[in-house]
Amino acid sequence: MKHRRVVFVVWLWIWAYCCVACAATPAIQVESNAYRVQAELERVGLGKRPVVLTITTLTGAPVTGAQVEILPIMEQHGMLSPPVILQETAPGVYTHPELDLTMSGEWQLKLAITRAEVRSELILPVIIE
Amino acid sequence: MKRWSRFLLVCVVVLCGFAVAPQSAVAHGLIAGGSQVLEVQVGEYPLRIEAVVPTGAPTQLTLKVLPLQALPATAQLTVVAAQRDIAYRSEPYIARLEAGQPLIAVFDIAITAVGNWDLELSYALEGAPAGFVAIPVTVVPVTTPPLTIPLFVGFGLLALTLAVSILWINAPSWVRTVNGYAFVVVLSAVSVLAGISAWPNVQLEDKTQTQPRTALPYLTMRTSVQRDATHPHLVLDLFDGSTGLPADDLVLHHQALMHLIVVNADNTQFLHLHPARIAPGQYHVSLRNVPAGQYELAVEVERINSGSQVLRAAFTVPDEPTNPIATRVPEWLQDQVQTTVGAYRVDITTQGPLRAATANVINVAVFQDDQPVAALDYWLGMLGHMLIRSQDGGVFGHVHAASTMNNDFQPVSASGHQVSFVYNFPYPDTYTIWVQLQVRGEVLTVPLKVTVSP
Repeated sequence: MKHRRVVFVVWLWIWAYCCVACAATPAIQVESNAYRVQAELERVGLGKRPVVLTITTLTGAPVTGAQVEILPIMEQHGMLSPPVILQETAPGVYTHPELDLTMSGEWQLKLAITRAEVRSELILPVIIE
Repeated sequence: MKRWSRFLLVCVVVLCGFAVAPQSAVAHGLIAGGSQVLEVQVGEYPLRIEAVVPTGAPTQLTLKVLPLQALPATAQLTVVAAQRDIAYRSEPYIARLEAGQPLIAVFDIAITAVGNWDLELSYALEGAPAGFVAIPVTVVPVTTPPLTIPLFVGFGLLALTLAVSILWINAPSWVRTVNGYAFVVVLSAVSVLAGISAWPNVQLEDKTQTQPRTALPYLTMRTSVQRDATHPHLVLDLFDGSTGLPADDLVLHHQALMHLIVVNADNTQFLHLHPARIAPGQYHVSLRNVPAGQYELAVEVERINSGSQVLRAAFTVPDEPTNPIATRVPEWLQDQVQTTVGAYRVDITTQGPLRAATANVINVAVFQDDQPVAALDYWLGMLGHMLIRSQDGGVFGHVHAASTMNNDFQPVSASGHQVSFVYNFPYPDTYTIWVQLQVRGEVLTVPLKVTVSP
């Protein structure tokens, strides 16, 4: 009986440890005074990768018909990567198949959203391993 | 009991896995602890040098030297290890490199104490002194991270409790009870310690850093042209902007302690060199093949923990040299241009007119005999460099190709024949750009003029 209690306590410790370890990699989400942007992209490995942005207003409505451009900036090594223009594949969902991140480290994805001739800029920080 | 033992074993393995998992590290340029590769112009010849610097002393430091250009005669290389703090100098280490052969000279140098060392490398061609560089090396003491010993003690205790539970099958009940509680307590402690050491945002005291962590101030520079019996030399003295003391804390910045860009007024002369450090804060480069005239220079350096900075100055070469370098007039780049450099054709294209305050993409492709070359070499850690200067002199830029980095000592290539540069020209003007790529060991330099519109 005592052993079972011990086993239970140990399992709790390991479970808590794994939860903390997983929580160390939060999803990329930024918010401006007009938009909420969630980014999905592979953060391990170098080179080209698809990127998917889900853009909504602050009330949660999808942002449609916008021109969305990403300029990747690697400040640590003073380098820009070629900018990409994303295509809207679903209401509020913008994708590009080849976002080129060629170095490990901290990138800043400078995101420009132009809608009805109003341009908004946001920075998405991404750490590539 | 068996299930209990197996469970203990799994726990220990899982925790060991967490503890020894590789941690992310940032390394950029400091010549201490591990392999560091740099390029430097020593006398008339560029050398590629690798210093494999271990921590702790006494120890051995491995220095490799590879001439990037064929030497005209057999060279005798001499290295003396000098510890700056106590004025100690080692016996000379000597190696010979035969003329015209791409051989590497390897020196195993005894390091007797931790501290700041200069590896004084000199070479002579046919007995005559031909070049000198003092490579700064910092040897740091071996220190143990603060959590290492507690973690090892914890793992030892876990192993002990595991052994007791497995081997002492008929242990009295109080022993089993104590053993079980000890296991839980130690496992708890080890979990916390492992979590702290693995947590990316927890900064523990790092005793391996001997240098200050705060950013250092700006540099000032004195530029002078000195002449020996045969030709002029450019001497650059760096001083700390706040104290006026010689600034001798440069670290590697893209495989060189100093990048020196020299251009003349009409951009028809261009040099990208890596001067040799000849004394604390003092750098030197030969001007043997530089025509007489007035020049501007930009020096790109990085102080430790401080990021890079650019210093600019002007100087005059007073004498006509005997063998001036070839003049190459920049070509105009509209949307595309084809040019020939040696045996190679270089195609440069843009995606429409270049505009200020916009991320412009400039694509460069290299061909030989109308066929794409198989690979481009990494040079100074990158697959391409582009130097930029505005007509009004206000902008100096050093752009790297959008590519992976490589800091290996041995020459490395990457398959493919093209690279892209992305640059945000700060304002409309006429700019001269120099695209530099390396193919099969040869650095290709293409000067171009571009008009950047509003």
